[in-house]
Amino acid sequence: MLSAVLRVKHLIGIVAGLMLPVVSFAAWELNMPKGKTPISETVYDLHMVIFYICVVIAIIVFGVMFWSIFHHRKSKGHKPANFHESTTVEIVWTAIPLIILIVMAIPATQGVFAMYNTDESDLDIQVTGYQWKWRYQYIGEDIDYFSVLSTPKEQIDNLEAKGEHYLLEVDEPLVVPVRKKIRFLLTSNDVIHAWWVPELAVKKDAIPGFINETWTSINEPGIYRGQCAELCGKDHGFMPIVVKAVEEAEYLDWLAEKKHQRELALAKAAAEAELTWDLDELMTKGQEVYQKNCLACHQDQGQGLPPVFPALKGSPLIKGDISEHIRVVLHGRTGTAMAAYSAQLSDSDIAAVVTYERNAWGQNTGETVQPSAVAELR
Amino acid sequence: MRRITGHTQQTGQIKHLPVKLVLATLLMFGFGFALVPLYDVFCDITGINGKGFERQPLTSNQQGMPQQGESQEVATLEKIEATGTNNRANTEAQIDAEAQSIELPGRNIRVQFIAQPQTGFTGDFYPQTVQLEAHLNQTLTTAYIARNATEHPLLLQAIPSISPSEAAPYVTKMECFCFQQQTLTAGQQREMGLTFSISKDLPEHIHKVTFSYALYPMIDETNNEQANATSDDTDANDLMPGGNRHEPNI
Amino acid sequence: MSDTSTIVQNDTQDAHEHHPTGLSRWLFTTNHKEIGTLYLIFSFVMLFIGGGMAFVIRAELFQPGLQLIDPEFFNQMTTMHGLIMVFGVVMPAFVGLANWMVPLMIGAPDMALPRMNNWSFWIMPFAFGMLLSSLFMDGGGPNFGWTFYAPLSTTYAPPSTTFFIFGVHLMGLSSIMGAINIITTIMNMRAPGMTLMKMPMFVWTWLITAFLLIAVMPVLAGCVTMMLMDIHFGTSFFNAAGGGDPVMFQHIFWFFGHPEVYIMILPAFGVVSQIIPAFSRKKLFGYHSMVYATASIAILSFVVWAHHMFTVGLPLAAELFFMYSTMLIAVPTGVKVFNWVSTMFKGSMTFEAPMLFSVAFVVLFTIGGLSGLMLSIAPADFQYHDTYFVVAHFHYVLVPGAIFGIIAATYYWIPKWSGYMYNEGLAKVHFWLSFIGLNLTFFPMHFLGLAGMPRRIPDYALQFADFNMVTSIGAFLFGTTQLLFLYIVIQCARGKGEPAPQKPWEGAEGLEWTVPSPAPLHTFEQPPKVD
Repeated sequence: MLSAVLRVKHLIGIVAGLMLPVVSFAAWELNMPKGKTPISETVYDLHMVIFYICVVIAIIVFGVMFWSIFHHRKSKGHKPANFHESTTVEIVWTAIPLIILIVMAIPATQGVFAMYNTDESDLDIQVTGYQWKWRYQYIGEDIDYFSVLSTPKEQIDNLEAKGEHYLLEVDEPLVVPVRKKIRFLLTSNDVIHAWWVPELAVKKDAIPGFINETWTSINEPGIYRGQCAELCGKDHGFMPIVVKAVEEAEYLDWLAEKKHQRELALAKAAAEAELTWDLDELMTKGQEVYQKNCLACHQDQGQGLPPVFPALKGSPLIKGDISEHIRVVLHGRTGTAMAAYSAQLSDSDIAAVVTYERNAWGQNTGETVQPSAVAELR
Repeated sequence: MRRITGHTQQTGQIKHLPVKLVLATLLMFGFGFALVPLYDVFCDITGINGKGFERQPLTSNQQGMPQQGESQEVATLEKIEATGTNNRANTEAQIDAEAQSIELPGRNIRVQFIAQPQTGFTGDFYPQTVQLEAHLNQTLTTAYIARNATEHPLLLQAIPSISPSEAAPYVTKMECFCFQQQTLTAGQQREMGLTFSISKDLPEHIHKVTFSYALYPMIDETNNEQANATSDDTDANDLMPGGNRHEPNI
Repeated sequence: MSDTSTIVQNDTQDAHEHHPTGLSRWLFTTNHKEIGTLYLIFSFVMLFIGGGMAFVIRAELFQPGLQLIDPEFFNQMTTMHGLIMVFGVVMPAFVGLANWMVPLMIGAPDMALPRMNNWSFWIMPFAFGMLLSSLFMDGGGPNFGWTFYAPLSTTYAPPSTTFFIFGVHLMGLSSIMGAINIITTIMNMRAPGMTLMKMPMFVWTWLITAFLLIAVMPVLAGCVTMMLMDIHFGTSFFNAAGGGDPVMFQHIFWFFGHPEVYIMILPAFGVVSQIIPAFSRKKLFGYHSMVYATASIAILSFVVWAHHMFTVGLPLAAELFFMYSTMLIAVPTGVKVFNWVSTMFKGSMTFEAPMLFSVAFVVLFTIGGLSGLMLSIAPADFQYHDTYFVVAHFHYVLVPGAIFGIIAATYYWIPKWSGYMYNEGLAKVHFWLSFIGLNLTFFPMHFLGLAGMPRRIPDYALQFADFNMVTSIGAFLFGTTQLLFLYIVIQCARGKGEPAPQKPWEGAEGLEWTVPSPAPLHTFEQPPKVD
């Protein structure tokens, strides 16, 4: 069973991996980060208090236990005592933990109230989980983008040395201002995901069809990294979160820049849509788009991971009607893992990737798809 | 069966207990299913799946379209950034002061609308207005815009959600396109209406309420070869039988 | 308890009954001892299958990067590892122990419903055959975690999920039948004079466990039935598009899932409550409070389920309620630990293998319990949830809890089962290697979780590399050591070793030590008298 899945080509990777100076990144981090938000500090304090309580309980219980293990041995000639019941003692050790718990429950309750208070936010961001990327929409601003893992596949396959932020880096981070109350509205497009940034102490499930909310307010500028925390399928381990907290002025600049970029991108897309591309151009661009968006499921030779992620190479869809092919890429397929890319990719991107899928892997149909054809089907 | 003479109970009595235990098992199996309606009750009380109260409009309106002409009094809305995430958005949104209501308008509140077109829906879906400011106890009317980009009709079901869930029990929907499945003909674009009010009993600390609609395409076997389940059951409040299932490997 | 009782032993052997040999002996047996043996062998086989999967997981996680398996297969491994360890190892092992020991401990000649007993065992190989076969199917086996949250396990699941569902149905059926049998046996077949409050703790814990099984296994069956209907019959229990709610799946699942956690630990409590007094040569401290504590844990387990769901967006009031009720569980659990320690206190202890494993149980289970207390603090749980901290927590509760309990029980009772003493020297080596391996495996997981490593990921960021390597090395050590356990057990079964006396442990008490070693096929045909 195992041999069937052993990827022999990766044996080379193992050897290479063993030689990597993993230890140079040594971080024998023992404790939770204190974090950079009021909530993360509350959580950290609660965590430490309950931890110390546990340590004290453990020292007392284990102390008594090991003391008797060392002294009350038969080999030391200790004779067993006769006692086996004491209501008083039982009441005492029921009551004491109860009191400790009640004392502990007070700050914990306050913590829960603080976490649930999403009101009076300065900024609202809709976070949508997709298999396997995040989408950020700034409510009331014309900003809407996807954030995708940017670690190259070569690093994951141990063909290249791993970078400092291996698996915790994205193409476009979430940018937010510091010291502003940010309310996150979480939802999902497919399965349940969970948006988690440890240093912000924000973790909330993103549930398809419903919205959840949570909030944060970051004390100081910085880059905060997190990951999806709820098993969401194959690439659950490959959908990181990067939050870039900046001063408000910088944030406003970024907003303006982002809007400007969007206009430029729209203009560029419009210009590209007018162009007629030749096969080589489409294939080059298509390969790029494919690797970023399609490779994780449909694999590098278009072989897919059937039956959940079907093979593209030689599939009826690829051989069949071009319009249907474009439609599936644009809008996804209901009830399958195939997501809609209309929000994420431009007409020329889709034209290129459809062309690529119809010509790559030795299929060479020679068919080309022009952006205008995609625009018609949007 | 071996001899068990002399043990605490006799064979005859042994049979009663297993029967009771089997009954208990069946009861618990039933209880598993009973958790479904119980959970719905729990949700209604706490609002956690954020549906809010649904009050059927007095006039039957199959398409769930807002009847804007019917409103007695049309006040212009103090709206902010009405263009929102979609620059195609229509900037019209109205507040109808509920004529029957004798209660005074409550405090100010901001209402936000978000849309989640789900995988498989071929077209556009976005709120007409992204956020608006309103008073509690006022009747608000807005709409979501949906466009079918395919060449065949689409059967759609919108699933509402309100956040914070604590606010959901205070929301009354008089009219909502989520009450029933919607059909969009090929290429059709339509405003789908939503009329609601938020009670002035809304807890003091809530100043923002977000409405979310997830739009799911229902499989319609007449025009979709992927279909193997369908539901034309458009009973307004009964959402349960709406099948959206088929083999994941197609 | 038997120290207050005079046992009238009747050892009349049953020589008159024809007993089939070979395969049909095992296929058609209705004897509680043979069925107990079958359960134990089955769970041992499953331990190595589930352990092999853990090996694959830890090998992949030995270093950052994908080396051996792809993420899809990794998810299948984590899912199957969990399902097999929970349903295929711990539960059958405890049912096996109950089959062997409950009739012996209460002075009954057999289980109350021997034919059903046979049936409930023989369902298991089919259930797990079906479950394991899904790994070889198109699209692979279940890949959605042992908690199989919808819609990952419905809309987005591989086609083999149907086999998974039927597998769960079958193993649930087996557990329910086992539980009915055990309750009926305990309620109806105790020797004269053995009142409920004279029953050994192992019998008590199993009685309570059996009630838990009857209460929650049908809910699990209902839950997977709803999944089946969603997948094949167009319903929308868990599908938002049709008016369902994926969060409801989690409520139903954890309504089963949390009592299930106690199903896996209560019999181990019972085992340890037998062994610690035996090797301390002192009566169990606070027998009554132990019974009440066990019962309170079982009752509380029905009102704490949503602490597994603190981050799904529960209403504030529910969040608080489940936090308080969860914290409350620490009280009866604490009582049990304090009672064990008091039993040891001023005893006359010796440290044979069963005692070593039991002492380790108390220490390590307490560590797992304390991390559980930390997890119950809802705001802190937002940081711990779905990280390796949780993985560390439940492995600390289940491995040194359930698994050490089973190992301790095996060493304690194997002289009675086989008629031979195990090799004490090798057993001590087994203990120390297991103890070191286990802590090396699971302790660093606390640090990984606190530092921010999510669970169920096939590859991780570089700051987690070092502890993962330590963990993997520990896992290889722990896993390999269990081969030694297999060897020790086989040696006993083959009759290598000292012949065991009727009562090999000086301080042991109970009816099971009044029958010869090995226990003959039929015991207590005439009930013993317990005063």
